[in-house]
Amino acid sequence: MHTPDAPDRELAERIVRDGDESAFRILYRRHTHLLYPFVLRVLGGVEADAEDVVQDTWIRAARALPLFRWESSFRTWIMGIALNRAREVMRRGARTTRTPEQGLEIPVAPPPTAERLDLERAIACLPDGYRTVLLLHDVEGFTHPEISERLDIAIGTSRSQLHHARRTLRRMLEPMEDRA
Amino acid sequence: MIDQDTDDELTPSEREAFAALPRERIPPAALEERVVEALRAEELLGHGARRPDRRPRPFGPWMAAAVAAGLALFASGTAFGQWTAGRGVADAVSAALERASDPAQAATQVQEAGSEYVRAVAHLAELAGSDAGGDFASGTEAARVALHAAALELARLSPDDATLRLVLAVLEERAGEAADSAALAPRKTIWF
Repeated sequence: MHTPDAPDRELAERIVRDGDESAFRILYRRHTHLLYPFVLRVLGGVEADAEDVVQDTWIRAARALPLFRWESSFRTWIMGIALNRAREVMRRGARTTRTPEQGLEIPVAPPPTAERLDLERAIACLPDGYRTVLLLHDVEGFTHPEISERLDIAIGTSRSQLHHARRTLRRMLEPMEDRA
Repeated sequence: MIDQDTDDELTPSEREAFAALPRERIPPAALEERVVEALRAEELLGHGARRPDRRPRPFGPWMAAAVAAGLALFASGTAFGQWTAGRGVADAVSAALERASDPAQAATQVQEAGSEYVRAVAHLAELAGSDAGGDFASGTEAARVALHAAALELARLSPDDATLRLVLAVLEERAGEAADSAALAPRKTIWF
């Protein structure tokens, strides 16, 4: 058995060496409450997709754990895996997003009506590329060079996507009367 | 870590709004069980988890490692060993593993199994044009999954091999795409 505060690396070594389920569960519970909302936001609030991505992320992580060199934190590493997997899901296209409050499916595009939305819902309605860059920059705090590396895009593209994302977001959030 | 050189900086209230977004959310409880079950199924957790000090089994990841190592040696022109004509692949490999008692014997068996694997895939390729029922796709999938499993085992043997890591990354990517499409297409592969 393991204490809940055992370091990530110790838990990971137990998983690789012994297939230790209790060690895995500690690691899972330590990181998934951060991983899940991140993936959910990247995917625009589609809970079923987010659950699938989180599951795939842990499977890929468990497979690759023997190769992980611990040059970054475990959290950074697994968030990177999750981001890549989420982007694969988005690239498949034909997704819809679900508002967290209503459970309703709406197209992944800015809503046609100018009703004021809360920030979370507005982010969910952004196009995938805008949303991903905005989340990484404005919510997770990554720099453009870091985003460029993670998403394999040019730094200029990252800046441009962020500019358009913020502009779209502001337009979605502004009250009706300001648009007249 | 926020950049200061963007041309449309966030206002203080916008920064506050982003900072106020919750960073934590408890996932559905059933998800943990789903993940654990999936890892058990892949023998990454639980009783079937792979251990470096385990004795080799007749079938499974160790055999896959033998196949991949044999493939590499075959490709480099150093493959040798005996062709066990008339025997099924599984029988041949199983029998070989059972009599392996030292690294030299095990290495020979790796080469034999690798040669067998390459011949089987080459034969499948020769017959590809005559496929009418999707068996070629099943065979291709079987070959790819075996190669992936072998790469995983080889990565455990040589964790510092950068080329191997690259190969593994590509196979992981491909496995992800295959898993996505698997739900749409019926499988004909029978694993034994």
